[in-house]
Amino acid sequence: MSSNENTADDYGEGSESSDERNAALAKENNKLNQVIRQFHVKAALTITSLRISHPPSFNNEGVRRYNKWFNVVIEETDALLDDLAEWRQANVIEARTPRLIVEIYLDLEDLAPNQTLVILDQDDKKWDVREALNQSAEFNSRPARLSEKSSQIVLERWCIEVGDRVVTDPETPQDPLPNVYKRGVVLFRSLYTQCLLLPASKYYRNIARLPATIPCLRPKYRILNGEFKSPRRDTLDLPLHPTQEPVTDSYRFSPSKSPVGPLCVSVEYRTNCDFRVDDAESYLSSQFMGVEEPYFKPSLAAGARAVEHIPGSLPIDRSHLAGEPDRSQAYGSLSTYHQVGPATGTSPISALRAVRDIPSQSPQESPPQKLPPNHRTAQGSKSSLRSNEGVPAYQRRPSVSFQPFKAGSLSSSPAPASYVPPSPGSSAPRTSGLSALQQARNRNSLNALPQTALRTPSIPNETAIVSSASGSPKPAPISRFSSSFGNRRSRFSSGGTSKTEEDNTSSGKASLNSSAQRGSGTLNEGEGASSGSVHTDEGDISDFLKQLESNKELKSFSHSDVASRDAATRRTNAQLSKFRSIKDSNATTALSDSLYSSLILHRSSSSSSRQLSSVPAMIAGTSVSTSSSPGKPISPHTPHTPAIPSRLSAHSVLADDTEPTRSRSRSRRIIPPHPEEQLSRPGSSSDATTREGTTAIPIPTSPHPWQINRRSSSVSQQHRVLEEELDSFGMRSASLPNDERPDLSLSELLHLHEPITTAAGAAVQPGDGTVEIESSDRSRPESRGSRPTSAVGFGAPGGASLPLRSRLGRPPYVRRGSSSAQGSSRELGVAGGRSRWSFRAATTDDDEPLLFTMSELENQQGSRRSIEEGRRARGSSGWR
Amino acid sequence: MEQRRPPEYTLEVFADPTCVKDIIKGMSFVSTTSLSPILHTIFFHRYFTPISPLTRDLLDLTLPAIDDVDLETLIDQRATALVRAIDTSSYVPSSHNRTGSYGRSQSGRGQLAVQFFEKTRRRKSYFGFGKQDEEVCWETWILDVTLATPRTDSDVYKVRRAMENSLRKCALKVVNIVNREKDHIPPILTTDSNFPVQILVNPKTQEGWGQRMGIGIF
Repeated sequence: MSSNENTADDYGEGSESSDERNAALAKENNKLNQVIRQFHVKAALTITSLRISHPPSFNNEGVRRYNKWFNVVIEETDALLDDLAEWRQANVIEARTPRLIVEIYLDLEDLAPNQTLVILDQDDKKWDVREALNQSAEFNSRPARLSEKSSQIVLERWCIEVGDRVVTDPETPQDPLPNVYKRGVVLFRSLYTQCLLLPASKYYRNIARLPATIPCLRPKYRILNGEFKSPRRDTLDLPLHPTQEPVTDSYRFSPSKSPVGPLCVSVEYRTNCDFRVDDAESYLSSQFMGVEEPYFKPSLAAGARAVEHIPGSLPIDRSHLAGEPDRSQAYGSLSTYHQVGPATGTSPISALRAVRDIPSQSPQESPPQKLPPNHRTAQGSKSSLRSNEGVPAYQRRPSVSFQPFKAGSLSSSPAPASYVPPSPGSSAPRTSGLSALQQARNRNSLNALPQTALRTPSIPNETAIVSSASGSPKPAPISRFSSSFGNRRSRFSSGGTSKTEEDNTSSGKASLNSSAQRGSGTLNEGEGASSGSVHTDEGDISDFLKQLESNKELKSFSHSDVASRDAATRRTNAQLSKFRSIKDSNATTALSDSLYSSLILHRSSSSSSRQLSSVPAMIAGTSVSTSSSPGKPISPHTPHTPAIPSRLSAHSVLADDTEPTRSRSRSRRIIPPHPEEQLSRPGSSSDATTREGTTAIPIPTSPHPWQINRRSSSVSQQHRVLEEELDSFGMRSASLPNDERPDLSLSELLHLHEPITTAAGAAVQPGDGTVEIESSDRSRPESRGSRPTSAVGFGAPGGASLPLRSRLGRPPYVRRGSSSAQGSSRELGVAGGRSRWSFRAATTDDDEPLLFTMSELENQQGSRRSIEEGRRARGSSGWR
Repeated sequence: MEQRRPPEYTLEVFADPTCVKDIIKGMSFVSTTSLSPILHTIFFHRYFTPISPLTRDLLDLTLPAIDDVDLETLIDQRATALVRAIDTSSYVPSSHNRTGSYGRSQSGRGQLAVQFFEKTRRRKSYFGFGKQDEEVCWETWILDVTLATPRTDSDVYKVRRAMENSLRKCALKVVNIVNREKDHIPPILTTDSNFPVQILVNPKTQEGWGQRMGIGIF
């Protein structure tokens, strides 16, 4: 369009010139001017039309207009009119044409609030583009501007310019214009091909292929005057992900000679344009997924938050693995200790927590429950801490949560236990999938506990508790405690069934001891409640029954899940089956023995190791345990110890119900449980009132969180275990992976409490994320505004569009398709009245002819030829 | 430009014959072989008449093409002929590089030659069917085609990757050559016709282009 006007003007000027020579020269210059102008316009059109879908432009007759300059027929658009006005009107002869810069970029502000732009690296790993932009922006000294511009990622920067005339040969002026045009044809062919080969083209094509329902981020363009420095931050070479390959590459087309200087086209482009628009949440989850798949499974019930945390916690998984074995060992030790427990329970632990333990033993379920609540409260506090810490990114969450969890887990673990009772029903179903795993773990632990209980009934339990407490306390007492609680919790919630089985086996032994403690546990576990009902209070029993129901479901899930999941789970299942059989037989002792044997077999190595480590605690006796558990731990130990023995006795007598609950709690406790008990107990003893009060509050809400937390907690627990019980870990890991897993589950359960807190933190974080998104949205409006402007720009061009149109009277359907080359020739004849139009048409036709005829023929001839050519073109087009 | 020896550009193309065979069976116009896109790319850069460029996606590449049925037919015929020639020649141990011991080689090589002519007479003719003496070759493109038949899935993947790389390299090479070598292009006298073109299949093993072409096509 502009070309047409220009040509018309040129012709007019030429006609005005009095001297023929001058006129000829003027015409020649005009034509040269036109070619150079069109060179810029066509380059911009070619580049942008291969990256952006321009609104089509129509002539008077409603026919699409095509830009045929340089023999590349591309749909014409009015969108670029305003942007290119400077070059369409440039006088190439008199002044140097400014550089034409075309930038293709992505604007993140075009994304919906819940969308994230990611880029895939060579390994198909996703990287958040906005994050990279923000990070880069941080380094920038101009925050304000940067922030505004930081939402754009430049994919390509094209530069079209006329080289320095000095470089041009003296001959160039003589170079016939058709040759200039012909070289331009060749250049534009290669420009077109090169545009298709660049990475951004691939991105554009991929977007074009996407169904409309799939969100995508369409590239934008901007046309700049290269003579002015852009105020925008240059994001072209901003690395979006770590890579050894250069972020950008460049290509320079060989300059095309012209009388005014070489016509240069060059491009600097981003080598990786593998962008994707992801749902923000799915992206986060996917990141986590990649990190920690195993956790995800358990976390499924927990929800996106848990998943996110889990992903972040990938390392945690590993730690869990390591920790699980340890835990299993610990469990074994615990169980052994549990046996000892009764004795210990009678003395030291009971001393501190005797009140609770004692009540728990007799009526006692209530006391234990209370204790857990305390722990819960503690957890809640921890969680709050975590939440604060966790608030940051998801990635942060895992790490943060873990550390905090370790400390918090101790306190938190108790809380989970408290939560567990209420939660089991509700939590169980939710967690069912996850819980199954946890349960499996718990079961293992539970199994181990019963076995241990059977082997070393009352006294060992206490000692075990002590030992565990001591063992864990040394490295990270808190974590141990938490883990123990987690175990308890896990037992209650998920592990209930398996635990119950185990408990049953052990129940005979523990029943007496555990009745109180277990009673609390049974409340949670439900299954235990039925059998445990005898031991436990009626209220507890009812609670237990509820729990049992929930637990049953959990058990079933857990069993299936366990079996399917891992060999470890299988082992646990086998153990569980054994326990079940034991339950059926009601030969608690035999069952317990068998359980022990099985447990021993599975966990033997780990348990032995743990026992060894724990042994010191054992040796130390209750006193030692108290010492290990220092302060808080001691009191918990005492209650635990009695509980453990009671479990053993209770299990034998009462069988599954009480035992399960106990066993669950114990099993969870077993390794961690002792610590947990210790912790909880200590907490309860020292913090008991506060905790209880707190626990009571948190319990209702906690259950769900617990589940989630458990997973996360498990991770944290693992860490804790690692830290706390390095020795034991080594043992554990060596011993049985399966056991470890169960242990982990227990610990996880404990941790769950912590995780809950973390989850809350995570939730908070997500919220932050959302907030950010919102902020982005806010920013988007600006972008949107910009878009509209662009749209407006389009419209404006259309309206103001071409001077030609304006002159003509512009109806979009300009009389002529004249602009369209084909129509132009005919119309020219018709248009006779319209001198300008005819000229224009001629010029349009000339565009092609220019190449060949320009030098040789004058305007009129050119016009004629153009007409002819136009006809030919028509024919050829038909041919085409 | 007129009498000097026309420049000859060689492109190495790595192709998966399975693609070609699919084409042969279906005779689909949408050439999935790697040969056609390259040929299209060459013609896109050597057909100087106004072109409404098309784009063809192959593998992970998009290359330009000319919306010209006659040209498309010619390209497909030649590509098919080349594949057949390679397939057939695989039975003959003497021809080109053949690795197949049982007759059908797993990989084979062939050559396509694309020649652009300048008419000494001002006469319009379409494509490469002009056999008149007044047509002078001003540019030749040689396509060294290597066909590889993947046997395993992993091979399929590798071949695909190799094809894509080879295609990309070829396209870039075409762009570079076309961009760099402009002076030998004969004057473009008309805008309604293109330079006569011939596509030869295994030109070095054939005495006459036309003869070979006929054989190759049919």
